[in-house]
Amino acid sequence: MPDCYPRYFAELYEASQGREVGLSFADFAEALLMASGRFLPAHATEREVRQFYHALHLSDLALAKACCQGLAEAWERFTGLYKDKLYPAALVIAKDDSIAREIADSLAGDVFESKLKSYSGRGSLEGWLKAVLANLYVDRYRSKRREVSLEERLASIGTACLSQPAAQYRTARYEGETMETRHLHQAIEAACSERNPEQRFLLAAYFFDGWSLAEIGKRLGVHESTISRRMDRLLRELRRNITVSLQERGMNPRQIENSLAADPSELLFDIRAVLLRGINLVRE
Amino acid sequence: MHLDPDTLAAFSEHSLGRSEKAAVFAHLAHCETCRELLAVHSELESFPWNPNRPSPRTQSFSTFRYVRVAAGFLLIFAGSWDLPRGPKTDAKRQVVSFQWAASNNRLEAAPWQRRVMGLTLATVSFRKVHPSAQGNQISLKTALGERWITVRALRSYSSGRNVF
Repeated sequence: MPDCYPRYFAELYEASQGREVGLSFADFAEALLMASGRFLPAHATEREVRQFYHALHLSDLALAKACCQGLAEAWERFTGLYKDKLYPAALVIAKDDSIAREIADSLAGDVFESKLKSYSGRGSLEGWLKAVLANLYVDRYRSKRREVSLEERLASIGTACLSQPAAQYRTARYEGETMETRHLHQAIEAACSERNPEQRFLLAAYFFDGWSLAEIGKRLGVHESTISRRMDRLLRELRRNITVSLQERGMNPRQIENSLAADPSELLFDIRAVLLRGINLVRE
Repeated sequence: MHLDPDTLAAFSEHSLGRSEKAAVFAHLAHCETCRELLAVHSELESFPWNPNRPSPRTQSFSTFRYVRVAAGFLLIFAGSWDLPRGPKTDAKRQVVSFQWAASNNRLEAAPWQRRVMGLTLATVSFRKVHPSAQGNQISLKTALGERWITVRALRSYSSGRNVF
């Protein structure tokens, strides 16, 4: 083993079964370094680096890298494990024979090889292939069928939130509102913006996309009851924060009660706007 | 910029660290396309891509090494040399299919399901379920003492519902 690599790389190489598919130690070590370079921050500690390597799907990574090098044994194994299942897998998501065939064919040959180069072993190779298929399907077909694009949808909700500075946007939105409604909007915005990323995702999935709790659970790989508890807690916290915020703005309990009994579609609009305003921060 | 397949696969398999997971959630919160991607990806969750090689959540290498050592002892106790074959990651998917009998508080498994993380359950003397406060954990009481493992889900025999 060359001295330029950590000693535990040899142990990882053995665990990866890279030798069986013809992958050399040096190539495997380079694949590890590429993965860590891509995902780990420069200031990662030695312990974090080791944990990262140990959590990789080593045998999948070795197989993918060996395929990229055109090694016959690796391709034979890869084809046996995955390639023949591309079409039936595509059929599961597309539910249309011709589209499924097109997706599967588009991944064949050189395209497959070039995509495999990007595999880093963070998830399983199977999960990665599923993600590639899902990506192709959403890119090529769902997007064509969607009559209103995401940008158009955002624009319909409020172009102000995307184009104007926050202060101008805030002023513009509150024009024509009563004082109570304005307080309510401000309280909702403050409460929503304090939510953590997972809670913001839950709000978007549940209120924007109309996913059921069971669907959210399935898509996150947790039980529906767990999602239900998280949503309950989230909505309780939102309500509490909004109430406190309204009290601080001088509203009495009756006014607060009336405000919170307002049309839910208005509340939804505000939650939507607050979440969408986050786009500006991400896009900057 | 949308989620790349590597990140999406790792996210779905719960392989990301806390900060990376938060970053993915932050992206999903505002990106409709990636939420759709996640939804389509999850449709393939149950697709039997390779029944002999399912790929559930990642576990740390050290955990596997620990359990494999324990498995070696168990096999000796059982006097069996039927060594577990197949990749290490088979284990959790098999655990998912276990059922919990509330009446006797034991894990029940068909013979073909009895391999968990390299342990042949037929050799385990007693199996007790503790849905703990930490979440998806069960304990296997073996000749070597109690061993905790993390599973994705556990289904109850009596109700037919997931215990967790």
